[in-house]
Parts: sequence; structure tokens; C-alpha cells
Amino acid sequence: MVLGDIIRVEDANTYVVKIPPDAPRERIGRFVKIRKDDRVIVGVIKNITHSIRNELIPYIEPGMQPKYAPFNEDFRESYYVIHGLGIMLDGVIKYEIDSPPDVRDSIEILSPAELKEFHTIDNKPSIAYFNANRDALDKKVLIGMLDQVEANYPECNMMLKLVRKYIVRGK
Amino acid sequence: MIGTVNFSDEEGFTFISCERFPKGMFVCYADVGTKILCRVKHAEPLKRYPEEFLMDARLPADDISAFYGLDPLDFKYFSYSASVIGYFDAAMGEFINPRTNPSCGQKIELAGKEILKDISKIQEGSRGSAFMGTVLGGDTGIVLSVRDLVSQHVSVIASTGAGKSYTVGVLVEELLKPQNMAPVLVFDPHGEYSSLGEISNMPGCTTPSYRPKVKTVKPENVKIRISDLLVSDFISIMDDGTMSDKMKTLFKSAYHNLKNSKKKQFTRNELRGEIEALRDSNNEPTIEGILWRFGKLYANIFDDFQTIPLAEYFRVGQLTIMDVSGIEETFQQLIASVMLRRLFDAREGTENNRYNESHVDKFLPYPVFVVIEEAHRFAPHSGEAKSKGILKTILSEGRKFGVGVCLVSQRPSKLDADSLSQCMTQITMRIINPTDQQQIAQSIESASRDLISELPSLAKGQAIISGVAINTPTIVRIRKRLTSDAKGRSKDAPAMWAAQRKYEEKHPAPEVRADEEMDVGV
Repeated sequence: MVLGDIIRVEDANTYVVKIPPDAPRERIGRFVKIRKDDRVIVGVIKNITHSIRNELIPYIEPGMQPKYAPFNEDFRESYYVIHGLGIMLDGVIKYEIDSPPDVRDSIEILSPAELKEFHTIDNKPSIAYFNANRDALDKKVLIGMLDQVEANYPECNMMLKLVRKYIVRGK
Repeated sequence: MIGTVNFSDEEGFTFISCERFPKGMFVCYADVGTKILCRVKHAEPLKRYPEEFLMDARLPADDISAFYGLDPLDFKYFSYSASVIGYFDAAMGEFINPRTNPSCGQKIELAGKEILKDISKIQEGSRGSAFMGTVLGGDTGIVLSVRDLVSQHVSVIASTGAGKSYTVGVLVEELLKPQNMAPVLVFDPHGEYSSLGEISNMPGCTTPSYRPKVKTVKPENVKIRISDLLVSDFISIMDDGTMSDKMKTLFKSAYHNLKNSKKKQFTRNELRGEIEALRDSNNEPTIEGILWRFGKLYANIFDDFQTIPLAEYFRVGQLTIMDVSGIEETFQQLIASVMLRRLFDAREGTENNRYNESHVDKFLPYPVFVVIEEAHRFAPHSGEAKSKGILKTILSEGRKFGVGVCLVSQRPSKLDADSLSQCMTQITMRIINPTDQQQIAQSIESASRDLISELPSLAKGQAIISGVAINTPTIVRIRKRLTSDAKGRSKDAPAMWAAQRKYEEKHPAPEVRADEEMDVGV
């Protein structure tokens, strides 16, 4: 399921995605993927922003808005800020991104199977990108990520329990 | 190379290493080609695991760290703080502190034998050497200078069971080896040094031309000659708290009358006669009181003629074990007092040419060494002991006259602080009591205070040796004793009970009726 297209790549790890008006809304901390060539970039929704294109629109009554802005059907503009975590390439998992996605690349929800694959290195469960990205991600994003890994990878729940405690008590 | 310096300040420096060393271990660095010896003071992990990762004992901390993205190897590094001791200046015969710390990035290496050998003042096996053991964490021998030990005294301090008597045994063995042949006397209040008698037949202690002699003096053979006692000794023996001033004054008169009669030695009856001579109609009850108390001087330990034969006890290459076990503590103090007083007088008189060969039992033309076990009984911190005064005199002035003392105690806080501080070489073993640790800290040189915190954690047989007989304070693993240590060992009570039970089963005792046993005539 496509959540939107990338409209801006700020750096190798940060991409802004425009949310189409009719697309279902996802929450912060949700794992997503971006297909790029033969790789899959795995990221997480770091933030969601809403803005309005025209500064005057809020001052026009909703019923009158089509009259005064006839070509602007979507007054709201919503964006996901995606934080790239790593890539999957032919079964090889790397928790770093050396080549960011392009503008107009679509983002999709990461399937449970892909989530498990992304969190398995050398046949062992791993969330090793957590430490490297901890400063870049809010606590609520990290907790959201933990929730999903916990739900889809029960084998590592004992360790996740301790990591959750560490994250919650942390900054 | 074992590590790299990452910080330095006036307290010393720190270095990082993934190897583990005990505190007190020696390391070194090269400074313009010169090896600078340093001592590790403190160690702590460079990085700690998040506490939360340690909360489930089933999960290895390394596994969860790796799972989270931390490198488990990062937790294997240690940050060591160390202090600079210095480089060895052969001309000065000591370590000279360069007054600089190593710079950041300086490589640190383990101190090898070539530098550790300089910790000892003297080479193993050479004349005047006492090989006490090896440096902790290495096999470099630690050899003390017997010359310094004997002239400036030594203390052996340890809590019970830490190996105090064992260490004294090692020291005595070394003193009696052919390279030393010292005249040693062990004042033994517990009778625990009798196994040192084996020293005469120990291969390491004998040569074709030399075999150390061992003389054990049993408690029943220890005698104090009446005329060796001072007037204060007499009064302290007789006075049970009820002796009036008048009695004391009269007794002193009798004593001085006898002394003034130019009689150097006297018997109890002669002294008694002098007391009787003072009798008149005014002091009849007082004289009777003195004479009644005088009866205490007829205890077995006192003798009119026999005394502590110094010349017989202090012979070159001879160990004399004065077993005073079973003798009342105040009498033990008195024996120590008389022995030390006579010894000091003999050495002082011989050195000052007052005594010569014609003065039998007073001419002692060589330095001697005395080990005082349970030293806190003979020079207590608080309260008086008859031996305290002379012991303090010997400790402060004995150096000039060649009377070396080894104070052995398990309670340094109960030992007279002045006496302890006069022991310029310290062999300190495990001490747990904080008051005792404090007492030691006050009495030893500042350089070894870093090691005081190590005292509670020292293992049995490990000692901190510091002071003048060694070039720098060092944690030493005391060498194996040549002689056996059966008496000094803790008793294996459960094994002994089981053995006794077995014996009783084999040899049942005849039943005795309570009335027979108690002889109550029922």
C-alpha cells in the first residue's frame, strides 16, 4: 500500500513525503520501505506535518473556499518525514544508507515478513540501528518501532523488554 | 604495549587498556630511552553497560548490547589510574621521580624484570639479603636489605589468618641463611614458632660449613633474676592496688639500701632482710604488709641466681625461641622488659667499650634481632606495660647500638603509635578493621598510602612491603616457607571432631556414675 511519494530528500536519511488527500493515514514510528533499483530502503515515519498552502484560506469559510480558490481542491497539505534506517539487498541487511531515494519514489508500509527480515542479521535478531539513530529519533518514534518489532518478532521479546526500559528511562 | 595514556594531571595519569591488571601492579613507559616505573592505583571499566541491559540474569549483557547496536568489545576496556614512581638511579640507589607525567598517547607497557629487579635494594643470595617472595603478578623476586631491617626495625601487621606468623617464619629463615647468619630471638607468647626448629636441617639454610642452631626455651625454663628487677618492677608485682604509699616508700628504702651496699646482685632473702631491718615500733603493720606482698616474688618465674643468659641466647647463626606461652601476661611483659633492658645495656655497653670479654653475659659484640610477637601486649597504645618503655627506647635508639626489633601484631590500633612509626620497614598484610587501617596509614610512608585501600582485599600470603629495606612499596606474594607451619594454621574443627568421634567409638570410655565422678558421696 502506497503511502505517498517523496517530494524532497533532505539528506541521506531524511525524506519528505507528500501524503495524498485520499491516502490512509499512518502513525509515527511505523516502518516503511522505498523501492530503489534492486534495493529496498527501510525507514520509519519520524514525523507528520500538516500545513496549508495559502495563508488566506483559513480565513475563508469552508463553503466559500471552492468559489475563491476553484483549482485548489486540497487545502490541507500533509507530509510524512521519513528517517532512513538501512537497506535490504538480495537478503543482505545493512543498517546504513549510502544512496538515498529519489524524488517521486513511493513509500509503502513494510510487510511483517520484510520487517522480520530487516531485523535479522546472521540469523540473529538485531535492532542494531537503534543505537546509531537514537539521537535522531524521538522517544515516541523509538517506542513505536519497538512495538512493531515486538509484535512481529516474538523471539526477541525478552531483549526488547529491556531495550524498551532503557529507552523509556533514557532521554 | 598494553595501553595508551589518555589523561594526566597532578595526581598521576590514566591509561586505557583491554588487559586486566590488579591494583598495585607495576607498568612503565619509555621517556627518552629511560624506562619510568609506574604503579597502577585504580582500575575501572572504561564504559559501563546500560543498567537496564543487566536486569535479566538470563540474558548475557554482551548479547543484548550487540542486539541494540553496541559493540560488546567496548565494554572490555579499562581505564587505569597510575602514579609515576620514577627511574632507577644506580648511583643514588633509589627511584627518582622525573616530576613529569607521560604525555597523552604515550604507550604503556608491563614493567619487565629488567626494571622490577630495581625494586629490591639488594640481589637475591648476596650477603645481607632476605628473599621474601615475588612481586604480585610476576615472578620477579623481592629481596629486602637485612642491614636496613636490623638497623631500622620492621613491623609485620596482619589480621588473624592472613599469614602473619608465616611471614615472620619466612623472615627468620632468611635471617638464618648462610648469607646472613643472624642472631635472632623470637619472643613467642603462643608457642607457635617451635616448627622453626626444622631450620637446622633445611637444605636452603645450610652449607657444609654452616648449620643454623635453634634453641627453644620452654616456659618453665624462663627465669627472671631478682636482682635484674627495678624497684618499679617490684612494686608493680607486689601492688594489687592495696599497697599504701607508706609501704612503697619503705620498700624503696629497703631496695636502695641494698643497692647502695655495692651489691650488684642480691637474693630475695637479702632483700627481705633489708625490709625486716627497717622494722620499728611505728611501722610494724606496714612492714608486715610489705612482707606479705613480698610472697609474690616466690613465684616460679623468679629466681635468685638464674637469669636470661644473653650470650647464650644471642649467638651468630642461632635462633632462640623464647616460648612464654602459659605464662601470665604481666609476667610475659616483665620477662620482655628484663630481657630487652639487659640486651640494650649489653649492646650499648659493648659499643661504648664499657663491657669487654671479661663481662660475661654483657659483652655482645654484634648486632642482634628480636622478634616480638603480639607486640600490642608489650607496647600497648593505651595503658601501661612494663616492657613499653624499654621497647620504645630500643626502637628509637637501637639503631645506633645494633638492636633490631620486629614488631608483630594483628591489632595495630592497639599498638603504641610511636613504636609502630619507628619501624622503618613495614610488612603489612590483610587488615579489615578500618581503625587498624587508619593506624597503619598514619605510620607508614606517604608513597605507600595509595596501597592502603588494598589491605582488606589482600589474599592470604600477600603483603605490602614498604620502607627503607625496599626501593618502593610493593605488593608481594610471600614465598613458600621452608619450615612447616602446622601450629600457625587454623584448626580444621569439623575434621577434628569427626576424628575424635571415631576414636571414642573405637575406645569407649567406662561409664562413670555422676555421684562417683563428682565425688559428692551420695
